[in-house]
Amino acid sequence: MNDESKLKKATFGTGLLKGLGITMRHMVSKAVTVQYPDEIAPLPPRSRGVIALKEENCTMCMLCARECPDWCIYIEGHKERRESRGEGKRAKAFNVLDRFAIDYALCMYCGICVEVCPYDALFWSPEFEYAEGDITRLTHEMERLEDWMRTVLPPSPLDDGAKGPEIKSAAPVVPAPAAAPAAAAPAPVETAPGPPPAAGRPAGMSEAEFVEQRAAAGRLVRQKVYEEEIAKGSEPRIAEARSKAAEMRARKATLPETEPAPPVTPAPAPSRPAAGMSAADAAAVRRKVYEEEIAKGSDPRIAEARSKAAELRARKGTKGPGG
Amino acid sequence: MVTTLHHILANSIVLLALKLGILLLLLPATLVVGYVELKVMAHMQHRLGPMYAGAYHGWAQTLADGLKFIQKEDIMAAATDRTVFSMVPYITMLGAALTFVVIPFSRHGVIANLDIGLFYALAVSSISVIGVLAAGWASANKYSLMGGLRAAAQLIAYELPLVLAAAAVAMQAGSLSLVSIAEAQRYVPFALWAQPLGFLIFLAAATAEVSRTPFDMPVAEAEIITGAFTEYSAMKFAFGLFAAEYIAMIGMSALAATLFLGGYVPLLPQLRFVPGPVWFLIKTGLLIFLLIWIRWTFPRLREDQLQKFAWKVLIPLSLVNIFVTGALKLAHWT
Amino acid sequence: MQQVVFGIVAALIVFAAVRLVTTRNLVHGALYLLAVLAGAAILFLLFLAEFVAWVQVLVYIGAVVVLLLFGLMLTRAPIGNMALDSQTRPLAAVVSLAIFGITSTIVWKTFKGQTVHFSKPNTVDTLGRAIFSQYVLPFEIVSVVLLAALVGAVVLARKEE
Repeated sequence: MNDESKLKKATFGTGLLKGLGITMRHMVSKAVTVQYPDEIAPLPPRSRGVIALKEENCTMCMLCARECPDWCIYIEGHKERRESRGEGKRAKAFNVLDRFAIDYALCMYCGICVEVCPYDALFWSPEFEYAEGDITRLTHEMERLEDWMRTVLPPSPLDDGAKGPEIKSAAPVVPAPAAAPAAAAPAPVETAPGPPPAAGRPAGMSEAEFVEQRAAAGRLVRQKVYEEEIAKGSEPRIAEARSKAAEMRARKATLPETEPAPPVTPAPAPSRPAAGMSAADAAAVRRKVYEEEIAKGSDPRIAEARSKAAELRARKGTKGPGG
Repeated sequence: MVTTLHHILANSIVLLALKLGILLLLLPATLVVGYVELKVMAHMQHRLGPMYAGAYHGWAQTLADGLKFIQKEDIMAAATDRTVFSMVPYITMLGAALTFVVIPFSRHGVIANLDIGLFYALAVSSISVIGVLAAGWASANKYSLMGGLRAAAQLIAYELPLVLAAAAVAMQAGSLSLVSIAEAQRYVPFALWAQPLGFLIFLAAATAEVSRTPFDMPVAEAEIITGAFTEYSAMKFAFGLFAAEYIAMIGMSALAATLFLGGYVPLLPQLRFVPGPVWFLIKTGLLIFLLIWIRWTFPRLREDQLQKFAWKVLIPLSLVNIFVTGALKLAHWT
Repeated sequence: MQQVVFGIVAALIVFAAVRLVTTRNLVHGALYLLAVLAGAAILFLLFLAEFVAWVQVLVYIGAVVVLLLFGLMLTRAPIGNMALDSQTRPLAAVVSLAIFGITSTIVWKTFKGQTVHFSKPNTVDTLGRAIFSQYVLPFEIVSVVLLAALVGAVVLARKEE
């Protein structure tokens, strides 16, 4: 027992002194506290603060509402019909968004809705100061969600060597001549800050030269975009982020991704020969099927749906189920 | 005693009032030390500490805390023994504040230069043990009772090394009067040449007497919620525990500074132009900072580790210290 | 002046002592004992025996009463009043009054008319010299008794192995 305590005493002091040294070192070094609300700690660009909605991209596919684990997204909309563009062409129906609300009292900021949206209508924003005194005001409606789009940061530039996202464009890609990148520089920023897609390198230019050319083009684009953004009045960090993104896009010659693709105008359906009946006949078919269904005792809505389907098939001349 | 009292009164009531005024400084001193502790603690934990109360770096934080305590409700359980419960803060404060009667701020700046000053200081610091026991019992709370018993056990265990280390100093200086002890360190403070071991023992014992980490098992704030004083709220808590603890800490630091660092005596004769009280404050401040530093560095000892340390380590060491001091003194080496 | 202080302290001691034996609450009793001992310390101060006064505080108040309270709280921890009356209360009162009468008569008759002159406080110096020269034998015997008590306490407190 004596030896044990003596042994303990031998090394008794060094650990204590080391500990004292550590606290002293901490005391004299600068504190890491950020005094909120007078100062705001810088947040990383992918911080999840609030979800913003870009209404024009939303097609009411309901994927976000379905995938939300908390069921906090409320979407309402209706279908409208566009005028038919011609004889035998379908009057295209499209969705109109009436209400898009996210209840932030329920939202758990998992980001599944943003990930799952196929049309890039939802974006993350690092804005977090939207606390309310009343819980009902935590349900943000469409106008407020649109508002948050102002605070969305452009995506952080990709790391070197990373492949950008593949976005297939409608128009075929034309290999541009060597002069294209330079010509693309003065392109207006609003639409597509980037050269027309130059997928392949022109013959007669080595790989290194091509890469160098694209890099130079990228730098020009970056400078231009930065100046434009500052002139527009954006914050420096946003301007810098946007210009960097533009440069990356120019170098990799991918399509722009911050400006989400304008609502994809559906390619006009290939016209078919009007093998079906005329409009008046089709309407008659519709009424007939409707009365049949009602007589059978179906729900009025089902009857209406079936009659409509029958009318369409009649006009197109396709066969229905069972001929 | 009659003649002394007559002497004082005849001499100057103002002088007496000034001397007793030292006691009035104790509360503001508590506020300052409390604020210093908060700030030092914070910076050692790499943060800022109070920044808000009072415009500049939260200097009024402890003052704001005091005002907050004043307006709190004084809660007493139905089964509490009210007389004893209310008496406890007085006892703890008494035990803490009476030390200052003998501590010299300068050659003549002491309320009463008792011939047995050192002994008196140690005797009054043992009064607070009763306070802790009574607090634990009067709270009508069995956990407070156990906390009080453990606290009292710790306090009486560490009184011994405290007294023995101080006894070695008295041997070294040849007197029990604190002024004489300070004067005996005119050339070199005891901590540096004759009593290094005694200094360490006294510091450890003093930390335990004040129930500060690493010996704060009785008041382990985060764990047993201040043990014996759990049921105390508002001013009883603020005075009886909070302020009394800080005053006791200042008192022990002042005592240690006088015994081992030389009190009001300048460290070097060349620096004599700095007045005595300033030296005293510097040395006491240094020891207070050391106590705070130790508190926020080390984890706390368990009750049994604490007791083992007192009885098996500190007391034998202090006895050895007395022996060596005596031997060296006899051989005229010191 | 001295008589006045003595009178006040003596009255307090008597009051505390009476309450000590008549209280029903054990812990209150211990605290009244504390008051009695503190009064005794003040009396020592009045007689210029400073060292003894503070020894009284350190040992009696700081250790003996603490021990008493420990014993109370570790064994019975009475919270509230207990019936401490025994049947012999009247007899005890008579006996104590008789003892009080006899002792005070003896003291009064012996010391009546004498005055004590205190020249200077009894320093630790004189006390120490007296202990180690004149009273060294009692000192040694007391030390041995204390040692025996300490060893006995350790033996009693050991766990049976």
